[in-house]
Amino acid sequence: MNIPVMILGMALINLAIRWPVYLFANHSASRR
Amino acid sequence: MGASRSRAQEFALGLRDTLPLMMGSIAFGVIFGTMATAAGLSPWATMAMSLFVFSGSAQFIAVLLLGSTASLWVVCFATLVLNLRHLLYAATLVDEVRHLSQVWRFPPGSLPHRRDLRGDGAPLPAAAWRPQRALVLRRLLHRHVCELAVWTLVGITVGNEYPDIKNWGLQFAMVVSFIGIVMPLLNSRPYWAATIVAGVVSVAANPLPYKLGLMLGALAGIAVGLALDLKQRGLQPGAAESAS
Repeated sequence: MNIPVMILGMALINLAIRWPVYLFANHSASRR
Repeated sequence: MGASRSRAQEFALGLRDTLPLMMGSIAFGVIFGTMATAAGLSPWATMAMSLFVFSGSAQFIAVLLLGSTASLWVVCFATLVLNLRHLLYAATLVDEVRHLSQVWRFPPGSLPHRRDLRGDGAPLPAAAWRPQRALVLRRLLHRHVCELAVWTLVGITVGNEYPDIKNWGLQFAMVVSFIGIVMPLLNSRPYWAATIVAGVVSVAANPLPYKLGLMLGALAGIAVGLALDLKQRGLQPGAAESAS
């Protein structure tokens, strides 16, 4: 198995799970 | 709250909040480092996993799967199944990042900024430090990464020093740590049912290749737990929505 590809794949999956939750959260204008 | 805190104070708070996580990281880091070395992973690849994948359970499973010559897709699918829980973790932390711009929402959701790994934070632009609560969150993540990486390095060293360490049964320590995490959370019937079903199915399906029995057990446990939870709520309209 290509180890660097495996690590990249795992990292991207983690990113795909976590980031969209923050990305699509409503922005609070009061704290800007 | 916290608007007048200095960076040092925020750092101290983040340190305090992350102390329990660090304790876990030490065990995970050392055991992962030794196991990965024993499984034939290079020191660079081992460190890269702790720095960029940054997910103890997925890293362990990947090392175990490497030993059973699983394919890349199986490793990725296992990572997805194991880390779907991060969706819930992220949802609980949304309020900590809501006030940030999209750019600054990226670090807590992904890889830490390389410069942050030093822990002093000096090279970051001043604007980045303004959201105090986000600063604590970043500190939390980065300290955790530092600890995991440092102890993984210790594990690599130990693994290289004692090549027969794979025969010491360190895998069992990983299992014990997961049992220790799960057991206190079993406070309702659906949870217990999900755990028992997952355990029984994964043992029964153990002969399946590529550790697929483990995933089958997880899916069976989720299905049973969800079904019982819905039944317990009496299938009230909107119950699922209010829970989310």
